[in-house]
This record gives sequence, C-alpha cells and structure tokens, in this order.
Amino acid sequence: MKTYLYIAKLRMQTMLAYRMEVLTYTIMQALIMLSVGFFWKAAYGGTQVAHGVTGNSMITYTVISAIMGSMYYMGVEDRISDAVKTGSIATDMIKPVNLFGMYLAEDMGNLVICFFRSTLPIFIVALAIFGLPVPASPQHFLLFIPSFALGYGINWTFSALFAMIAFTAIDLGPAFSVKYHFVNMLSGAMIPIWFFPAWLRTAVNCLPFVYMFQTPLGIYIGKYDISESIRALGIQAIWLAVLTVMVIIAQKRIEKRVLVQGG
Amino acid sequence: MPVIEVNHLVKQFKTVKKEKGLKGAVKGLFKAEKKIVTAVNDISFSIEKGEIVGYIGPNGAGKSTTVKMMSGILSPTSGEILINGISPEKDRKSVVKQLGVVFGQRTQLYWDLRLGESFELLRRIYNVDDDTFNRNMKMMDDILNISSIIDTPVRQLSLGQRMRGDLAAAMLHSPDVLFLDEPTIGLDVDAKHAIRRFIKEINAERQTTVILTTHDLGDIQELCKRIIIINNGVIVEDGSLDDIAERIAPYRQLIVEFYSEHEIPHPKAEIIKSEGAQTVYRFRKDEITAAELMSDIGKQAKIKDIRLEEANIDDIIRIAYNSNS
Repeated sequence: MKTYLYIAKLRMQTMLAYRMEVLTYTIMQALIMLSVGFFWKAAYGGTQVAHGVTGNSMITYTVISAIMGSMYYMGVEDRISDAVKTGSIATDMIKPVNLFGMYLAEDMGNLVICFFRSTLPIFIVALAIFGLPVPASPQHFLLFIPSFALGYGINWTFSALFAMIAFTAIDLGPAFSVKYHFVNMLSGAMIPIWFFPAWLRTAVNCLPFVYMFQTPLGIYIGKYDISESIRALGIQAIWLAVLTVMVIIAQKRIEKRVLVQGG
Repeated sequence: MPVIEVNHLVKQFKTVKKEKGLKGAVKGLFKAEKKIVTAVNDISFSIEKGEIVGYIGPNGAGKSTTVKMMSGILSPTSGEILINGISPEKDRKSVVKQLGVVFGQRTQLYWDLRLGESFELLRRIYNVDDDTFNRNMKMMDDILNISSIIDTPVRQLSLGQRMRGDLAAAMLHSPDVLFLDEPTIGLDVDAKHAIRRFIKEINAERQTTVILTTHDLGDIQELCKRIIIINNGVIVEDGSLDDIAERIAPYRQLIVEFYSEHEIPHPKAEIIKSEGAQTVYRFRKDEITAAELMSDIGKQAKIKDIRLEEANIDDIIRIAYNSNS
C-alpha cells in the first residue's frame, strides 16, 4: 500500500512541475461552466419548471458538473497510450507492481492536485457569479458523495478499458477526442439526457456514460427522490463491477501480448 | 542449478505489410496483409550464477526481444524461460523482484523529479529494508558517485549521469540477475569506463549474474568471459571469446621486414602479401609458433623488424555475424 501512496505522491510532485497545463484546463472548464450556466438562465426565461427541474437547479447542475469534471482527470488514458506508443511500458513492467494499481495511484495523485488547482478556483468563480450551489437536501448531499465516487470509478475503468485498445491498435489517432465528446454528450455532463427524445434516452441509459455524470448530478439537485437515488447507486455499483471485471480480463490478455516498439 | 535457463525459445511477431501510396492505405483498411516475422528462432542456453555473458549480434538479430522475454515484458510464442526456476511469463511479479533491468535507450527514472525520488519509490516497491538500502546506496555512491547527482531532476542529467542513475536504480533491491540492454550506448569514454567498472564490481562482490547486450566490443573484451552471438534469431556462437576466435579465426599474422627484398617461402606459413622488403605470413597457432617461424626465416635472410598480429575482435565478430546470414 505504501508503494501506491508513494506513487500518488510522486505524481502530485510531477503535476506541480506542470503549471500551465492545469491552468489552461481550469480556465477552459470555468468558461464552459459559465456559458452553459448563462445558457440555462436564458433558456428557462420565464419558465419555472421543465422536466421537473427548475432553472436554478439547472445552474446548480452545471456548477456541480464542472466541479466533478475538474476532478475526473483520467490520466490513465494518456499513460497507457504513451506507454504503448513510446514503448515505455517496458520500464513499467520490470517493476513488481500491479500496472493498473500504479496507474490508479497516479490518478489519485492527479485528483488531489486537481482539487486544489482546478476545483477550488472553479468553485470560487461559480460562487461569485451564480451563488452557492445548494443540494436538494442534506440526505441528497450524503447520497451524492458515494454516487460521485462510483461515477469516478466508472469513468476510470471505462477510460482504462478504452486506452487498452491502444495495446492492440498502436495508433489510435483521434479516438480519444471522439471518446471525450461522446462522454461529454451522452453522460449528461452538459445537457441532462432527460431533455433528449425518449428513444435516445432509452439507448443512452443502456450505456455507462450517464452513470458518470448525470446520476450523481441528478441526486444532488433532487431530480431523483431518496429511493430512486439509492436504486441509481445500485446500478452504478453494478456498472463499476462489470467494468472492473472487464479491465481485469483485458489486462490479463493484454499483458500476454504486449507489443514493445523499438529497441 | 543454472540461474537462467532458456529452452527452444521462439518469438514471432505479426506485422501488417503496408503498401505505398493512397491506394495502398485504402487497401490496407479492408484487407491488411499480415506477415509473420520470426525474431527469435529456437534458441537455448543456460547461464550459471555469477557469469557475465555478452549477448551480442547485429541490429535486429533478436537480442532485445530475448531480453524482453526474459524480463517478462514479452511472452514467447513457444519455448520456455526459467529464471531461478520461475517462468517470467507465468509469474512476472515474482521474477522481476529478482531482476534488475536497464534499457540503455529508455529510463525507468521519474523524468521530472529529482533522482532520489525514483530511488525512494523503488525502495518501497521492492520493500528494501533500511539497512540494505543504505548499504546499497553507499556502494552505488562509491562506484557511480550517485550523491553528486541525487538531487538533480532526471531530465537535467547528462546521458552518462542518467545511465549511472538507471544502473543504481536497477541494483537497489540487490537483484540476483542484471539485464543490461546496451548500457553504454552513446556514452563517452569516461562514462563507459565507470559503467564497466560498476559491472565488474557488483559481479565480483555480489556474484550478480549479468547479461549484457551491446555493440561495443570494448565492453565484451573487458567484461565478458562468455559471449553468445545471435544472428537472424539463431545462436551462432556460444563460448569464450578466445575459443570462438580459435575456432573461426585461428590465424595469426607475422609481418617481417627484411633489409632488402626477399621472398622466403615456409611450409607451415602462407605468404599473403609481399611488398618491397616487407612480407606478411599467415600461420596457424597450432601448427607452428611465432618463434619457430621467425627463426626459420631468420636463417635465410637477415630480419630488420617483426610484428605479430592476432585476429582482432572486430574481425572475429564480423565473421561470426556473417556466418549465418
């Protein structure tokens, strides 16, 4: 365990060496949050409630979505694809550690740094412009926390699984940015899918994306009542379990057929 | 029991044949032509504790592929590798615990952080106790002068310094076996010297088994009692440098300078060049000694100067490389 904690610590130190990267990312996230927030203000206009959600709740939704997004830093994706592209996977594999344990530890390090570098500034901007994003109730807030953690887990395992395609198809090209937009659109990170037509909603509900963003967000703003929220947590847990099993299977298969380029 | 056993090891890669031009690229989307390349083709050897083995061969011979299989990074297509009786393919973690691996063209150090941080991490990864850690650090410091660079971020180190860091990192957990894949590549004379001294010392002090791939024949001459030469995925020679030289290049040359032009034949030596007062004889060590040859010739003409040449390592290696291509 202390190994993985140390890996996380080293990752934090590494992140501290890269100031601009985090800064530009934070500015981008804050800008997206502001424009989407103002969009909801304008869109709601005189309307009080749409799909059972008020305009103010939608602004809360947007702010919390930006905050979650700032903490969902999936370094594992780049980590794996770089490891394969440059062959640096060789130096990971000569260590007696679990590769994915190591990558997860690194992302935990990223999470801590992102919290201070990204999440806090975004929260302060949101506070100044939209006011405090209040949860629907203390119970909802308490349910939001595990839902957020599960959302992180689903996002992470999905990213890891996706990046492992890099092992089989050495050059993924724009696949990562395609995936980024997919997640953005289909997870409800920007627009909750309850605004989508019914057929698309049904389809999207069968994919893991909504459980990354919309489930915790819906719980936070009280779109779901307590029993619905608990059920949603259950579905999240199932998705996380399924994806984790898939990662483990893929890891076993992939470690056997690693391609190491060059040298 | 040997430390490393390799039995009938084979590694094949599937590569996609890429055709040229746009047409080829489009064609490749639908029907990629796959080609099987055999990088390592049925090789076997075993290495005893405390040996320093030079694993050499021309570029693309399959050296690195073998090292990668032995360190559990690649899995063999067929055949078996056992390191202290354990297969790296089946139990990578147990095997790499006993290994130190250095790739000359890569680093396992944390690029953005001071060198010491990488050591601290490795100490935790391998669960090295304080005593061992301090003792190892002291030894690394004595040989590699690590303390002068320990606080420098790795990206600011020169190639030679970085290689010293990588070697120290590979030895921190006192591994039984050290794989060095081109450890002296691109290094200057001083840095090469330091690294050779390091390899000699850890081998002498700890009986560490070392497998070294290199293109630097100086490394081999200075370090390796045994060399394995691989070419086109097949082992072409395995033995001591002297034995291999004896077998594939058993000739010596005696260059004799007379006071005037002479051409004196000898039944046990062949004249391969005769130019002015200088004659070059080629003879086999086992047929006649240089002294005998010299005295035989000296009886017939007055000798001004002589020079004796052994087949040099470059020639031997070149002959070995070409023997199977």
